[in-house]
Amino acid sequence: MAENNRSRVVNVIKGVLLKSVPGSLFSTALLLSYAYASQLIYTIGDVRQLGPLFLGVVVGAVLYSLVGFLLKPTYGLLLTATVVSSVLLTAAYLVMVRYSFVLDGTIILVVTLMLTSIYLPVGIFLDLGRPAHLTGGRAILGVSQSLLSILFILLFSIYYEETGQLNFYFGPLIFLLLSLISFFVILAVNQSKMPARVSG
Amino acid sequence: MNKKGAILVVIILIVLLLPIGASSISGQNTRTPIKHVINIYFENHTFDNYFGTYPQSPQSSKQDIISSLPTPVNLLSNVSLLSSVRAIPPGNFSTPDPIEGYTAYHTDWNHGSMNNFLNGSGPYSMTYYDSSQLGPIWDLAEQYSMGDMYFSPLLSESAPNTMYYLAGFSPVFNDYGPPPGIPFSQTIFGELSSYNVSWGLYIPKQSLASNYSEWNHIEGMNSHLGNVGTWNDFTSELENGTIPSVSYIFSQEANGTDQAAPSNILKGEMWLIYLVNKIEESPIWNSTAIFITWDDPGGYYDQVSPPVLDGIQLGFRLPFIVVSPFAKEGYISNTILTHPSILAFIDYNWEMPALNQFVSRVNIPIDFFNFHDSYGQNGILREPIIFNFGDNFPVPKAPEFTLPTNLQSLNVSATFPMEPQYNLSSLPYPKTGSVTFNLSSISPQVFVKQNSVLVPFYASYSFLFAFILLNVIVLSFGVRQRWKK
Repeated sequence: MAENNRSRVVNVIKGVLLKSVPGSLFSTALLLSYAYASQLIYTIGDVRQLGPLFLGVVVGAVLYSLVGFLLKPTYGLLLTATVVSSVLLTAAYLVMVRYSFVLDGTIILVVTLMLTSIYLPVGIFLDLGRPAHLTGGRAILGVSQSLLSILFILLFSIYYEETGQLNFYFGPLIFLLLSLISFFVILAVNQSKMPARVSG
Repeated sequence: MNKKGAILVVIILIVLLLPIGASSISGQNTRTPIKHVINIYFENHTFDNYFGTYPQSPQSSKQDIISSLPTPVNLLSNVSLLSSVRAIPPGNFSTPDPIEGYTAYHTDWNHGSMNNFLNGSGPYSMTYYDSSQLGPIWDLAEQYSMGDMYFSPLLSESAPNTMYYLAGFSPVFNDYGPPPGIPFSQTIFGELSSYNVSWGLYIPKQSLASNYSEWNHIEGMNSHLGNVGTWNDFTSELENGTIPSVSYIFSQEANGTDQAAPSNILKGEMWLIYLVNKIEESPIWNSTAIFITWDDPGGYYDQVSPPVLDGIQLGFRLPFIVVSPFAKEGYISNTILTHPSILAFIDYNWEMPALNQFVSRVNIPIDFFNFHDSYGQNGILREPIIFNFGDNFPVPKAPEFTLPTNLQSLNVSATFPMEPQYNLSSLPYPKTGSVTFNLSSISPQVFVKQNSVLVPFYASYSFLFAFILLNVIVLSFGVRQRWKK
């Protein structure tokens, strides 16, 4: 029994390292890239916007990550989730255009809740290969992905503010680079576990 | 070399040298008697915030002068507004910083209703200064000319408005950057360089070694540091008469000289009066125009809904003062102007094409000047006025100085109004007026056909997209490997 529990804990830790960490890096990179591409980031300049902004990020990230990891992952579901997220991202952009990029608290909350839908396909994508964990374990992976991502966004925001709100284009790129590195690590781990081919 | 070859060489040499000759000529010719334009740039005040009650100064004993001065479109023109805003009490020279930014200003603006300042920029937006703080600046407006329809180019803060000030275009709409930037060649400095019109840019001494934020959107500025000097360099060049044709003096990044809240505005005011005095005392005074303005509204209240110009929604009104021996005394211009109007004046004066399309379509501040009518027997040129207010307002002895400690004892309101140089009732022109005159009405030619936005490759969307795709491919490969097991 104790052995079983220890094995589960080890599995969850492995899941966090091999799924939640790369997932959080990748989704942070996507979210920041979209924030620059849609010009959302330039509309934030008032401390009163920060409350709804982070509320939207926290609620959206946790919600979509949980759903992404809890659903039984299939390619069909991944396709559906990607389409849903794309529709929400487009809708968020249209909302910003509709309000001439002047976003009050409510609109920022709505927009960030839409933008964080990026976490949904990322969660499904990462869980696609091996839904090896039980429901509780998968929930932990989802929450871990969202919490790490929120932490990364917070770190980005602090640096962004401290450097005089410079156009920190390199921010998304750093997260993309880190996610690429982590994906290579996953690849390496997977390769090392593959059974050797027997020839002849 | 045979005869034909020699003729060919001569023709080629003439063709090659022709543009050099032409541009050097254009560098010396001016359409007006003004040979020196000096631009002085402050931060963060609206017209109503500085001139809301101009020229009223109830404490003054010279009410006869005040009553003969024209009143601009300000809070006095809409007296009901005076109950909604509060005067900053005498002896106070600053307010906390109102909330600034693209969002705050748009909230203030409220689609042109101009009634949402409390929700946008907050309670400190509803304040205004008067002669108790601004007597000497009001004197400049009284002695020379002022515009009451000078708008910031965008409903936003410093960076985009400064880009319009220097290039008639901005690649950003809020205070972010760089990147993206704009090429040096597409700024007024680039145009002046290519037409051999000398120019200089003057900044505080301590900023010379650092990356000065006022030009950090301009790519290639560091190759022209020979044109950059300190405020002390400016005053030395003034004394020698070696000042370039076009000068830009920035008050920014100098411990409050720029007047941005919460700075003490007296610092910038004393600095300005010092500079104006130095210019008036210099050998170039007779051929100079000084354009004084502020970069953006800073979150302060203004009542006039800004117009749309050439498809661009302008921002709130800013103070704009023109000091020159040709500036009309006590004149208030109602001409619709904005930062690129100064660029248009420079292009017009030195017979250059409009910097870009927007510059070609904004009005030129030409009605501020009197180039034709003489003041009785005194001619057209006005004698320099040296501003000396004694202990009421001590004018500093150098551009870099520290404020006096006994500010409460200053009687700043006593500095306004000054005795007019010429009798205000017998001026050879109306006291107010406006003009619709732009470069496109002279010539369709523009210097920059298409404004450029310089985004480094790592920040381009195509690069980010390719990188995300690479991530997805790598991740898919990993998932596939795992799935196989």
